[in-house]
Amino acid sequence: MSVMLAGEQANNVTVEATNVTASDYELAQAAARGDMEAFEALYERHHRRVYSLCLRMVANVTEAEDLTQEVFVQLFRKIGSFRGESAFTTWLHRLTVNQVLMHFRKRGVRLEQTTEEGEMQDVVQVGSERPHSMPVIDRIALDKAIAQLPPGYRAVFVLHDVEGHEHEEVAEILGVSVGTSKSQLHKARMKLRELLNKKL
Amino acid sequence: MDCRLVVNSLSNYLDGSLLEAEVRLLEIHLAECPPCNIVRLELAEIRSAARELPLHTPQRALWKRIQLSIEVGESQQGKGREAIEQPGRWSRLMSRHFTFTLPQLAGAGALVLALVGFSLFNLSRHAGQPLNIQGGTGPSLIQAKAAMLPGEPEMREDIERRMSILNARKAAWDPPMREVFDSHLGKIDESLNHCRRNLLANPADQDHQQMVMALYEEKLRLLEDFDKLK
Repeated sequence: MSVMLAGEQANNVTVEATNVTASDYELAQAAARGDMEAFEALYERHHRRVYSLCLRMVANVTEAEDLTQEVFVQLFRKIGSFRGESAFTTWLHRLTVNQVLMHFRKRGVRLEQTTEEGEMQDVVQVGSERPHSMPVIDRIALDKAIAQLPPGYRAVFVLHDVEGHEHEEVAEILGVSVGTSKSQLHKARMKLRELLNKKL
Repeated sequence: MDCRLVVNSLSNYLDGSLLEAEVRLLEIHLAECPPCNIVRLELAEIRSAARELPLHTPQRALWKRIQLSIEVGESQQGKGREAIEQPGRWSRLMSRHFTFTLPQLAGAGALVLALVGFSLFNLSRHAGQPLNIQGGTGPSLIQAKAAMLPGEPEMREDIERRMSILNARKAAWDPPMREVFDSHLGKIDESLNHCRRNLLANPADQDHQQMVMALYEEKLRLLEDFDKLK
């Protein structure tokens, strides 16, 4: 009996070691065959990135966790269709963004904002207000400030500045024009500057 | 260059999407305007800090939730598929229409007239004896057995077999489901009785022969559909 247990333990160690070294594509293929350990390995690798994106986009911990859960459930269902043509992270990222956008649509969130409470004044806040530029930005403060942005600004800022999408991609993802994407990004940055300056 | 215009162009400047001439003009202004330059520095700081934001970690229980959700989803996938199909069948049953050809419709019209006359005649002869339109074993159908159409005995046998299975299950159905079933079955049986009576009067009437067989098929489909609903 003890020999068997030792054998099982060794097998588990081997499986875990295999999962650690396996590529995302290999794990995805194994998960598509119903291998939950492979799927868990994928979760371990990518869940923080997925959750962070969801959290930054919706600015609510509970909703972000629910969305992350939905993303991984969807991922499990669709993983068989991942053919490895693009990077797994890109594929998962797109799945996550789609899930977030679906969430916005369900809640009736408008992503193309022209006038609302977050609308910027075009007046320049002159340097006399603060003689020096803000010091190195506290990343936590920036995260909190992002959460205070209106959803439309936040979505563009997160996709462009945090996730590194080009305006053309942001426009396509959000279904807005490139001009709107650029304009919303600028307004988002200006609003963040204002929020961060208030805190400093 | 106007400060407002400069500030509004700063994001495009930082993202490198301004034309060279615009960049030159903007940089000249920035060199001479400290307030605008401060805005530029601050926006640049935000821009670069955004790329280095730390990742957040969800609660550890999230994986368990996902695992459970997947397991439940997997186990209910079969049931879910059935549930998705059921409304389809249900709505199909609810929206089922009887489609007849023009001669059949004309026949049906004549049938209604004949039926009224026949009913009055029948009522006067068998006062108090109700017509059985559900079970298919009413007096008119018993009489009709004498002039069975080709394929009719087999069809009736199949229907009776399915009916006995469904009758055993029927008690467990929801009342609305029973109501829909009885209503559809009632209509079919009623039409069958009418056609049968008409055929008694005129056994060579091909329209009514077709209608009888079409109604049996309709009845069979109804029973099959409800049989699938479990």
